[in-house]
Amino acid sequence: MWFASIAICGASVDVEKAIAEEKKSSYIARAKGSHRSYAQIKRKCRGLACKKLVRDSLILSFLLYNFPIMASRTNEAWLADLRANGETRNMALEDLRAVIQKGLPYALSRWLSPDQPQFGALVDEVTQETLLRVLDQLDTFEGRSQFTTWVHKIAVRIALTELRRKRWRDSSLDELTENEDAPPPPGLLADSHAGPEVSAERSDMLTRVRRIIEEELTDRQRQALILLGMQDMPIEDAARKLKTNRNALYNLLHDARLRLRTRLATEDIAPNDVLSLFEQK
Amino acid sequence: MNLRAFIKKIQNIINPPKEISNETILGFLRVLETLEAEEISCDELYEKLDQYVEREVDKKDAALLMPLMREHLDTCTDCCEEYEALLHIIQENEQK
Repeated sequence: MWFASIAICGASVDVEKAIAEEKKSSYIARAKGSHRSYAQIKRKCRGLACKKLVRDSLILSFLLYNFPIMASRTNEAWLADLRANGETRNMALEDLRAVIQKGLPYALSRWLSPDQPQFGALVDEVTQETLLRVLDQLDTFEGRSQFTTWVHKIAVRIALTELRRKRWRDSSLDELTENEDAPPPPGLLADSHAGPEVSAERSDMLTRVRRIIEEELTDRQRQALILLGMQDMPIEDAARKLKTNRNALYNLLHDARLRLRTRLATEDIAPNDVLSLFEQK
Repeated sequence: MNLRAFIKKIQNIINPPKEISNETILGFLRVLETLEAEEISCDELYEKLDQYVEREVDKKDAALLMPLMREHLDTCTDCCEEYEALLHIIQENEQK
């Protein structure tokens, strides 16, 4: 930040003008009996200019550090700077890189902490990919949110897609050593406190719902449910296995839910009644 | 994931289950009561996710203004994860 401040302040110092002023005052001084050579005047002016430069840059650094909002851009400024050429664009990209890298640890906190070895590499990879995608999709930004929020959204999508891909492919060894002592989550039917009547009731109800699913849903919808039930497989991965895309899979599941709801209503089964059966002790 | 879950995962890969699990059925039932006939896709949600999150951080009424977005987030784990991650970033920025 200090170097940026120097650059900003340096541009405003007119050394030659300072020399001219000092030269003028030296003529006056000479007239009063003292004299200085041009070289001495020039040295003195450069010294004065440097002192002014240092003083102003320190003030600006202090202000920028304590009031970072002074360094932030409006949406229009971001767009203009990223569309510009040369140094303006480079500075904007560097600022945007810092914005992305500041936000990613929060986005990844549920899955990775900064002290894990793969964290740094992932952040770098995601940041680079995000910058490329932002530049590519700049014209699609409609200004309905802050530009930085829109950028964070892109970064989150890239980061989580990468994490899901790695998680599903490479989870074995890491997850073996992780949380080994934590108890497995209790199964919904494995409630040892439920009496035999409640257990029987639950079992009957699930058999009825399972029959309805079998009759009502298509093969593909049932296949999708089986996949999603497997170790919380992400929708993207399930879509890939079904040779479709995320949107289409979501539509498929939504249709399945609507069909199931309609059919349960005709059989006089309320979903909440089924669920409350499993909340009984 | 512990050893038991790991073994189950390997078994699922070698011999995939042919039946929907009970947990999946119950998870499915959970969202049926408030399900809307209309829906939005994952792409449509992604288009507006930045607006939704900013509204939620600012006024906390995003779900009221955009109920279809809320419903999609309730039923799509991938989109919900992205929403929560983005929300976390924007909330932290607001606090600073």
